[in-house]
Amino acid sequence: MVQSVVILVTKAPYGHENVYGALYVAIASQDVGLQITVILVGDGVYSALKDQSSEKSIGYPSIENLFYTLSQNGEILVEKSSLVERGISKENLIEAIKITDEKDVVKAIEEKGEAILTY
Amino acid sequence: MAAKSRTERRVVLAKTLTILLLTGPYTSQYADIACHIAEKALEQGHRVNLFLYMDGVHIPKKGQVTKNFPNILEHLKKLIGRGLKVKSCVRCASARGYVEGGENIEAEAFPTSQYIEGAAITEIYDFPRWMKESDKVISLGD
Repeated sequence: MVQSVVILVTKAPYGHENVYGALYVAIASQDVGLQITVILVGDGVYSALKDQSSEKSIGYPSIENLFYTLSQNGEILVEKSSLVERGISKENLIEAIKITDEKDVVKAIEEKGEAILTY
Repeated sequence: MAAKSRTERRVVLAKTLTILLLTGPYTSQYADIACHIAEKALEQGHRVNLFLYMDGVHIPKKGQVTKNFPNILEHLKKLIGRGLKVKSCVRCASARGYVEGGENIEAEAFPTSQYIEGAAITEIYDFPRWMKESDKVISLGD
């Protein structure tokens, strides 16, 4: 039976419901005792940028705040080469998110991905 | 005797599959794919749960009439009749106009007159609970 879930986020926030939907499921899953690892890859890395102001600008809940909630009991990884491809530097990222390389992404999927949900 | 032993083996091997579906019908093939996977798993004696999320919550809407596409609603009805469990996320269903009142505590579901029988609108927690009871979980949609 599933105890550990990997959530792969591949889309940027706000343009689609996906990232909000992914983190909503992640937090609900933690609440019922599942171990959650969120991995941001491809355009999903835009979710890791700090100082998001969606509540004021477009009236959407801040993804950044959800990451802080999630990070208290879960792990959030952002894939390094996806950051480099998009010109995003470490200084621009939310502190609760850990930069990791492709090998460690695969390792996390192998070790923690009893279920893998892609958004 | 041979038939009986086959039946016994089938019961022992029955597993639980949960499918998370993110997209609605017709704009993509994901709903069809989800139903076909569910159908084959049910045929093999497995238990199958379908959790509808984001635009996936449109799938159990009554009154779908298709001219050039397979009617996903008819397929879903058939699968519910064979034991498929179907739940929709209340957050997503409410945003899309399907929730018509507060939670019915006894039924553990939110009321709607717009869904076919056998599909329920429930709290999001039902999805991770299903995952905990599952041998396999797949997600479909984009």
